[in-house]
Order: sequence, then structure tokens, then C-alpha cells
Amino acid sequence: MILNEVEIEDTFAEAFPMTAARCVVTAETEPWVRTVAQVATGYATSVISCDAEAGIERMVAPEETPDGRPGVSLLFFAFNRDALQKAVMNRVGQCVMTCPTTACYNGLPVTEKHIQIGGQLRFFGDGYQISKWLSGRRYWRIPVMDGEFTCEDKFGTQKGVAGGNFLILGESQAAALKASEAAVAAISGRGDVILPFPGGVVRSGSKVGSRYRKLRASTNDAFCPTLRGLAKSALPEGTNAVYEIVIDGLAQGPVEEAMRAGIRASCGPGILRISAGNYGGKLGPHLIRLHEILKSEGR
Amino acid sequence: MSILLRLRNASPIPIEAECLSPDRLEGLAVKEIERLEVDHGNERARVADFFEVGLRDGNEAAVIEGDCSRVKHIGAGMTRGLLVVDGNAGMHAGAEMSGGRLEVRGNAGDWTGAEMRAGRIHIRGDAGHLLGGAYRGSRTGMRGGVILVEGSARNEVGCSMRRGLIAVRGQVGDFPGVSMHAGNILVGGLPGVRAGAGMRRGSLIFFGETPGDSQRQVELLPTFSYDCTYRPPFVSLYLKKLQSWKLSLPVPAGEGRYRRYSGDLVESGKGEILVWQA
Repeated sequence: MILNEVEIEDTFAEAFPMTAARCVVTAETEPWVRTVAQVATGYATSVISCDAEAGIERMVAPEETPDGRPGVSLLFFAFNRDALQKAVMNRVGQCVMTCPTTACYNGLPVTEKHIQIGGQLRFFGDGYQISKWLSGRRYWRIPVMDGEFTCEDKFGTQKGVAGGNFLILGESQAAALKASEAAVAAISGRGDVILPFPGGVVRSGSKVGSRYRKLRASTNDAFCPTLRGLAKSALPEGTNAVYEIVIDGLAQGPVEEAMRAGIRASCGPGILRISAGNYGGKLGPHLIRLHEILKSEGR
Repeated sequence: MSILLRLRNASPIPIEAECLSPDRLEGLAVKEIERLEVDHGNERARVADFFEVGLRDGNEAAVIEGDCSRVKHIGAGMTRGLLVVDGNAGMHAGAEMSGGRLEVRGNAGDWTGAEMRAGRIHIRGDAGHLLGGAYRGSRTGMRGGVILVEGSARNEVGCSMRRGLIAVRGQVGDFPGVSMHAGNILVGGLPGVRAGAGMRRGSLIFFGETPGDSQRQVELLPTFSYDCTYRPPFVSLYLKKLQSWKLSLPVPAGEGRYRRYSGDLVESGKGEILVWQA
């Protein structure tokens, strides 16, 4: 398949299920919203070594937030609900509660499959915390030095899909980076998906395993231009830089939509091929074929 | 179709009509409703003695038309459905209800929503004494649900309430939130004297102060201690929710700050009074 004179490789991205939660964080001003969003989703690129994968889903206008202040929607993904509970509680406790003027609300329906966040953090109030019920939802007001931190008691969880991805193979680092930035811009703010890596772009794509027994993942040598002469390479001639866009979403559909938008935006001058990372179908049940998701958009 | 009950024979003697609730009326034919018993003073009577019963188009479970300010217990104990009183409602309307919606398009009498557990009462006019309160001798008033009043309410609003929300757009009388255990009372106007007397927990929020007008200031008991002036985000949650229920208090959500007082210090002191200031 050719798209904007760029070859789309007949391959697939291999995604896997994770458990997801959505937090809507508000603050008095938008700069503080951006600060808390960046801090709360920091060090959360890959569950290979982080407690969770997290990112900014979208900025939320005051009219849409529960308390009428500027807000941001954050998505968190972990392997299971217990891990998610621990990760989100630590992040809300250490990164949101500590940030001036913030409040934190649940953004998914609460079912029996929920995690308790405010209900755990309330103990920081040392007996001075106050519970409020409104329309079947419980909120905790924890006294802090600039007033009080409001946090919802329970947060809903649901099965999500992590690891949607595509690779941008460029003639040069500059061309590949420009295409990656275009892809990120096309995906950002779409809702139901996040790009957990720095700026939405990965330069250290990985393969499963390593020659060192302790490592679960190591560099994706087939896509490293500097190893073309040493390892079995997957790069076409003329490729000098590769970037990966990794997408986590609340369902496979939004991940596919995001991949489609990102691939279309990245196909331009200086790009030689679009590929995808997979592990031969051994890692996850969600196989997202590039040709299939692009078919509905034409060529 | 909705059941329509039109008051045709207003009596100066109170009518106690606990049968006028969706739970009792649902599924009954017009003739069966007419035969339902009510208390008229010290005598037994039938619904048909006072009401013309029929059917009308609409989604409500039942609509009661007329000045029913002498008809007590309308919607008392109801658990579901929408009951509309197109006029005034007498004492104990919606008392002990545990679900559904009661809408009173006129005024409501004393003990409206007394000891209710869940559901929503919306009063377009004024409310009487002991709105959402506890009956005499009872330890706990309203335990859940929502009461919205577009006019004013009289004394002892939310007396001994444990949970739930009462929002009054206008003024409230003396002793709002007296002995309350928890819950929230939002008042668009000013309270009478001794607000929150004996309260243990819960929040009383007043929006009616006018800056620079000494006649329009909230006067609190000396057993309430000033804490700080700040903007608690949770108040905006309530204001936005009230807007969705079509009750707007005279303050935009998220604007202004609040003076916070802890009290009542003769009790645990874990209650709070918030006074909005522009």
C-alpha cells in the first residue's frame, strides 16, 4: 500500500489488554492544570519499568468539569486493578494533592470493578477530613495548607488496550521527527487515547528479551540504523532514523482511529516507510493491521 | 397517562391522605382510587368526597390540582414515580419518602420531607417549618435525598438531619441546621438567628450577605470559630448540580470566596458554616 508516496508495510501492531482509569483534575488556573498533568503522568511511559502507563487525554473546559474550573483528563493503565489502585493512589497522593489548588474526580462509570483513591488518601486528613455525598458519589475534603483537597472516593476502571503503535522510517532524523510531531498533533486531544511517551514519541523501541538474562526488553536492533551492518535489519535502504508512536486507549476502536489519523499525518516528504512493532502475535490478542485500518480512508 | 385528582371540596378541617402517593395509586382504576380512604378530622372518608378523579396525558404518576394546603401527607413514604401538586401542599408532604420525585408548584407546609431517606422534592413556592427535619422525639431528621425550595423556608430547616441536601433560594427562618449530624444546607438568602445551633457535623452555606450593608450580614453564635476565607471546590459541585436540577442560587459557580467557621463548639465542633462573599 502506498499513501502520499510512502510505503505502508503489510504488517500489524500487537496490542494487549490493560486496566484503565480516568482522572479529571482541576485547578484554579490553566497553568497549574498543565503543571499537575505533567507531574502526575511523569515516569509513566511503559509498564516494562514504570508502575503504570499514563498520559494527558485532553484539556477539559471549565463548563465540562465537575467544579467549573479548568481541568485536564488523564488516563492511567496498569496490568491489573491492584497495580492500578497502587499507582493511581500514589500519583494522586504525591503529585495531585501536593499541587496547589487542585481537586481530583473520577472520569469513568463506577461499577464493582473500581479502585479507591479518595477513600485511601482521606487518612492524610488525620481525622479532620470531611465526607460529602452528592448524587450517589462520595467526595473527600482533606484539609491542606492552601485550603482543602477534594478527591472522589472511588474511581471506575475498565479494560483498555495498550501498545497500539506504528513506526515512522525516515531519510533523516529531522524528517522522521517532523513526521512524528505531525502524527502526535493529529492524535492529541482525540479522547479515549493517550500517548504515554515523551512528547508522544519513542526513540528507543524495544524487542522482548535480551542476551542479558535479567532484562525483559532490549533495543529493537532490527530498526536501529547504526546496527544495519551488524544485526538483521528491517530498514529499507536510505533509512537513517526511526521513531515509534505508542498509543494506549480505552478500547481497540479509539486506538485504531488514532493510528489511522497518525499514520496519515506522518506520511510526507522524507518518509520512506510506515511499519509497526509486533512480536509475531505472541504478546497480545489485539492485532491491528495497518492495511486494514487504512482501507476505509482510501489511498 | 397520568392520574388526575382535582380538589373540589376544600375543607377547613385537615384531610390526612397518605394514600396520595404513586405507590398507592399506581395500577388502580379511577373507581378504585375514588374508594381509597382518607381521614377527615376524626372521621373516615373517601377520596371521592374531596377529589374529582380522572386521567390526563402526561408522564407523571399522578397530578393533584387545587389548593391542598389542608391536605396532609401527600407523597409521604413514596418510593418511586413523579407526583405533582399543582397548587399548595399541606403538612408532611413527602415525609419519610425513600424515592421518586415530588413537585409542589405552590407552597408546602411544615415538616415537608421530614425524615426522608432518598428521592427529590422540588417546591416552587415557600416551605414551612422543619423542612427535612426530625419529628419531635426522634433523633434523626432527613437521612438522604434532596429538597429544593425556590422561595423561602421557615424555622428549623434540616433539624437533626444526618445526610442529604437542602437548598433554599430565599431566606430561612431561625435555627437552620439545628442539631444537624451531617448533610448540607445551602441558602441563597440570609438565615434567622442561631444558625447551626448544636450541630455536630455537616455544612451550612449562606449566600445572602450584601457587602457594606450591616442589615444583611450573617450573625452567628459565639460558639462558632472563624477559620479562614477561601474557595472550597466542593461548593461548586453542589452549585452545578443545583443548576442541573433547575434551581439556581444567586451566585455563579466558582466565583467569590467563603468565610469558614467551625462549630458548634458546644458539640464536636466538626460542623462548618460557610458565608459567601463576592
